[in-house]
Amino acid sequence: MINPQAVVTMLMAGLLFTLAAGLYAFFYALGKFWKSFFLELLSFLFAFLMVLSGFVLVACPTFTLFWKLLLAVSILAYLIIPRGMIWVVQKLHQKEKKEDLP
Amino acid sequence: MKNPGILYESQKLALWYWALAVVLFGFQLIFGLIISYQYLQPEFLHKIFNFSVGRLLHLNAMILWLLFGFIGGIYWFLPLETQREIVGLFLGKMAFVLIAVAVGIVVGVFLLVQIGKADWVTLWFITEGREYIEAPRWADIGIVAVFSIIFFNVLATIWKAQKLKGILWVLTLDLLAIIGFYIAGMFFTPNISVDQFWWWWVVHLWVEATWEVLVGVLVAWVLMAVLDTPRKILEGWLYLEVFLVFGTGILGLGHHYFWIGAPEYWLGIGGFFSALEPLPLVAMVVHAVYDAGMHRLTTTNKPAFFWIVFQSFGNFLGAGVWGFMHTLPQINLYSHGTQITAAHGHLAFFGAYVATNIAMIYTALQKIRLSKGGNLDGRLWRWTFVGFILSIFGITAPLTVAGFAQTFIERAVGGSTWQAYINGQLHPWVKEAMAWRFGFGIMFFICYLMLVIDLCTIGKQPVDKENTHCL
Repeated sequence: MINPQAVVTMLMAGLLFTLAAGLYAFFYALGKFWKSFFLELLSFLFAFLMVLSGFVLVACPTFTLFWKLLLAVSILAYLIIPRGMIWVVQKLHQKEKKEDLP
Repeated sequence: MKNPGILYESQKLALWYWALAVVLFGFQLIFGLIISYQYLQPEFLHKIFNFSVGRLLHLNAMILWLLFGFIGGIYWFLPLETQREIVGLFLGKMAFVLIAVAVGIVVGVFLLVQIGKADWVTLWFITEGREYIEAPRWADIGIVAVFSIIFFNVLATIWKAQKLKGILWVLTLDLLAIIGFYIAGMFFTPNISVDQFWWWWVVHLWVEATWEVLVGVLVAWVLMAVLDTPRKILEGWLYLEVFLVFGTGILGLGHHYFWIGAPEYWLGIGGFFSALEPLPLVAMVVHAVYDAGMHRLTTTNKPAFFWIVFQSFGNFLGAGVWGFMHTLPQINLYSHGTQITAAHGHLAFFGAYVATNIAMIYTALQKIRLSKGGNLDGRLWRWTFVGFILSIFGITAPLTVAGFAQTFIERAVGGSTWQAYINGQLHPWVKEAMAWRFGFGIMFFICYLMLVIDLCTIGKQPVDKENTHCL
């Protein structure tokens, strides 16, 4: 039987994990667009919070090794995706600009 | 190219679909208010309008009005994409009349007859009994027929126009998937596990896969209309979105197979892909921020712009954050079916689909009311926009608190016994949350009335400001 407190901890960690992932993506994109060091720094704070929440989940004894690995992969994916997406979006816009030039 | 002030016939048909959608939206909210009041006063309308029927109508009205909104969007933008009137207009009009009459009959049966014996008459003429898709079999066939007509109209129009653009490709294939997955929910089998297995194909693969892609198509068209975003950027983005949504969403279906008697491997498959399901939504946030920035938040249609930007954030929060929170089987074992699910549903549907439909309607209103150009703006839409967002979070937050309390008291501590259920329901975090939810529900309904007034009046008065910047 699981410790009842652990269920609530997992719920909270799950909520914080994705919320922080979204805020990381939001501020990272904003920081890149406005070329603001402060916003990028802020985005990394949220990335840190995301990793921290992810670690709380990974450390939870309810999860077996398979699930711990799965969560670790998810953390990595959520860390990479904002950077990857910025790269894709910038490429798309650059390509469009080039094609617009006479 | 047609005169910008004149509407295509299919665009007029789109207006009918949207009008019906807005009316059904109102009914959805009225039914929602009744059942949320029944949480506070369980004897309210007892044996006249039971909670189960109210919930059924609340959910089905939502599904239908969102669908009608999407169909309206297809009929509005399709002639603009193909630069010609749609093929099969008569069929489209006939389908609209049929579906409007069918909705009336089905609602009438749900209100007056409500339930029947467990036989074929009930299945065909009263209700199929499957949650969210309770419509009787004849209405199911009608839904498939209507979508088949839309599919034919889209395909035939593209064929005639000889313009198969990337967005249209995605739309055509997605419509085919929408029809196919709905048919999967029409099987009847006495084995409840097998029945649920197929039933989720409709519910999950519609809402978390094909609807997301359809909305991607509609959002792309709205972005072209309100932000003048280049087609190539949107098409490139749309392909990526389809890849991510289908890549994670199709097998994310597994999170519904956790506790229905499906094999245990679904825990791993469902858990893995569900954990990745918010990825496309995070990606969309990046895209929305970057694209709005590229256009320096400049638009001539502020309501549509704000709703479409909110769509990516609302979708992420509702579907992504509130979804991920309880998607892993180790957590879901305890949170399954609590108010957390309701919180997730309310925020996700509002963020992803309601916002898209409202944005599309404002996009159309600009063309109708300001055909000679000008800004679509005003005061009322701002109040409505803020009010809707505040009230949906006002509904979601207490439901989340109640869900946490239920998960802890009923499930984790009490072990899902009947006594534990009663203890959970009597806990102040659950009881008071229901009162807060009802209060914010009333606020939401007031916002709906404001939205209706705004849709009827916006753009009729000239806007003084020539400013096209949003902030």
